[in-house]
Amino acid sequence: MNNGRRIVAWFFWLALIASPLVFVRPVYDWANGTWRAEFRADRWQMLWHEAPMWLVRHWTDFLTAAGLIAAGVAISWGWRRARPKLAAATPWRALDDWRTQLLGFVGIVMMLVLVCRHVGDTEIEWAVMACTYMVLAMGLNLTVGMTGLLVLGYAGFVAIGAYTFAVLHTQFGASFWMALAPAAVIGGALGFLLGLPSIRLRGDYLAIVTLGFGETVRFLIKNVIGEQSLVIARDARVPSLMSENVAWRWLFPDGLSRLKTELWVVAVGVLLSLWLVRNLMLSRIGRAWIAIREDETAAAAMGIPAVRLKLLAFTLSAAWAAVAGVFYVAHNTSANPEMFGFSESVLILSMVVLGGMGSLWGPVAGALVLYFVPELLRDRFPLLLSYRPMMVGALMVAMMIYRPQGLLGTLRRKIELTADEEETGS
Amino acid sequence: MTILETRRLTKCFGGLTAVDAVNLQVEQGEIVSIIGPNGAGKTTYFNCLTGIYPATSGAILFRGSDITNRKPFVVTRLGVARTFQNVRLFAEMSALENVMVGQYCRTRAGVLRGLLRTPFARREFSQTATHAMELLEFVGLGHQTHTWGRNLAYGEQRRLEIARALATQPELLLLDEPAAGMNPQEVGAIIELIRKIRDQGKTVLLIEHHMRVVTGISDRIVVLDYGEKIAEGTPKDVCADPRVIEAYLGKG
Repeated sequence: MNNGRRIVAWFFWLALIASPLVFVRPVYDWANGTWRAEFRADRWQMLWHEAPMWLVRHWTDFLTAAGLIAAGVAISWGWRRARPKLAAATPWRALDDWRTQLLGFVGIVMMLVLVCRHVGDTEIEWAVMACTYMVLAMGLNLTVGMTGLLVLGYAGFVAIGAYTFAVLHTQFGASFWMALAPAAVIGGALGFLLGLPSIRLRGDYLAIVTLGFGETVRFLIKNVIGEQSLVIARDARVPSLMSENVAWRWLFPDGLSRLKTELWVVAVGVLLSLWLVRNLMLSRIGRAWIAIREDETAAAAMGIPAVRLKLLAFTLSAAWAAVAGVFYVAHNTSANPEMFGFSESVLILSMVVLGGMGSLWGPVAGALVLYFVPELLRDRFPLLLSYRPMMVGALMVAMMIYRPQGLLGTLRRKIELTADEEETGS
Repeated sequence: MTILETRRLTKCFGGLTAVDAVNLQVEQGEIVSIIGPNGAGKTTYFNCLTGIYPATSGAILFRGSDITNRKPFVVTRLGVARTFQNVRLFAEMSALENVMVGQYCRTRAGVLRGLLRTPFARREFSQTATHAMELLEFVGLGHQTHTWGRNLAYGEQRRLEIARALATQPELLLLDEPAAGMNPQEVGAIIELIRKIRDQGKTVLLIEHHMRVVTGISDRIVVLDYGEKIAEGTPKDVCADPRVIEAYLGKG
């Protein structure tokens, strides 16, 4: 038994021995000058009358929490046992760590249930935006992290998706769901067109071209469509689910408001993005992208059409941003050119870099740290708000010095190390 | 049957003629070595063959079809694979992934199948991985499956490059100094490996300075000096050729 477990065991026994003290109060008897134990009937009564009622009232919460813990323990325990066997039989399984990812998925869904039941609208609002940024950061990670193309105008692609929806809505009355596909197609097409001439540029030059593109899109929208906001009507946004549906009342007693439905929609978007990016990482296309990032000449000599694949990464990443842009506008209820400035591009890029370029969960972590955490701290430390960009900058500098690979950038290295240990051990 | 032929292949960089009208024929199943002093144009010749540099003039025929100035990835797809003089592995990918990348041009799952990880993509993934494992075993790296390319020992990196090149299923393998910087034991292993590759029916064209490798396995040796071919023949003949001795040691 290791030390940690021993401490836990000590606490357990201590708590067990001390537990009767909850119902007993020591009282000093002034008349006799001695101590006397007084039984606390009220607490005893509460244990038998109130506690069961409390459990009944919150049973879904307990079930969810218990499920979350059980799933975590089961998956990690099973994975640890199964992994050496798998590594011996099919070594490439180490590339596909789906059990850990499944754990993350289950955790996200269960957290959502808890959040929808207990958290106020302000926090849900932050969560919706954080999830939007997660999707965006994962899309940008395809080009910046995996293929190694520095894109500085990602907000431009978001704007294209957003305005596709806004224009389709104001002109033809399109709703959120109807706008998703056209936005993806138009965003992808524009990404492809921008990529055609510029993808042959390397490094900094590509960054400058995309930076210019992002600003161009914004000014183009300002001049062609106008500076005023395009408002999305109520019935075209994400609808409120389950407000009348009684069948789901056991899980969500108050129904799901529009905001909570939005949270579910964007969370499904995050899960879907995670799944798609993970699939890409295991695919030959994803491997080719990473190869191009590592050494383009060698990749070409291995039969990889580098220009074509870089264009593909660009197109896919642009379509990704456009889809997220549609959601962004639906959530925000209006589109305005100023929403898609250079600082947005930089924020998304920082999320990718901070979280870990080229890693699956890195952008998720980056979005949490750079969007959700500052919002959480906003009320408690109002002063922080005015220094936010400075603190983000300081954080990025510190990261570049102490952890240049990003928060979760070492995952690949970790796979390598554990796999090696297993092989020498067996 | 001639698998590779260059006709008066020339490459100029400005005023410097790095490869000067080199004629060469390589037969199927041969091991041919190209030797020559430093700066003789050997690597430039390789770069022209694989399309990394466009040739200034002349023609390259691979299995009878003209591949002059084709893009590198097209040349590889047609069946010419190479390794690099200064090892160019994908540093932050594992050995297994490095070899899997090499199979890009022999696999078919496109972006949609990859995104959705369809049964086809999954099957192809495990086939690719199995084949990559076989190749790693073949070059003697079965124990380093998940080590990053960057973290391998130098000799292992060279062998991994050969495995990666073999993964493209080449007819003709171009090795650029495979034994450079290796100790005698590793050199022996490399000689053995090149023989094994030839025994699989592949043709090998290699640049090498290490005379033990060159004389040990070559069917034929070609000597370049200042971009020109100055001698060609069996190892014995070439070593006795006065022009070769002069190129290496200078005039007596």
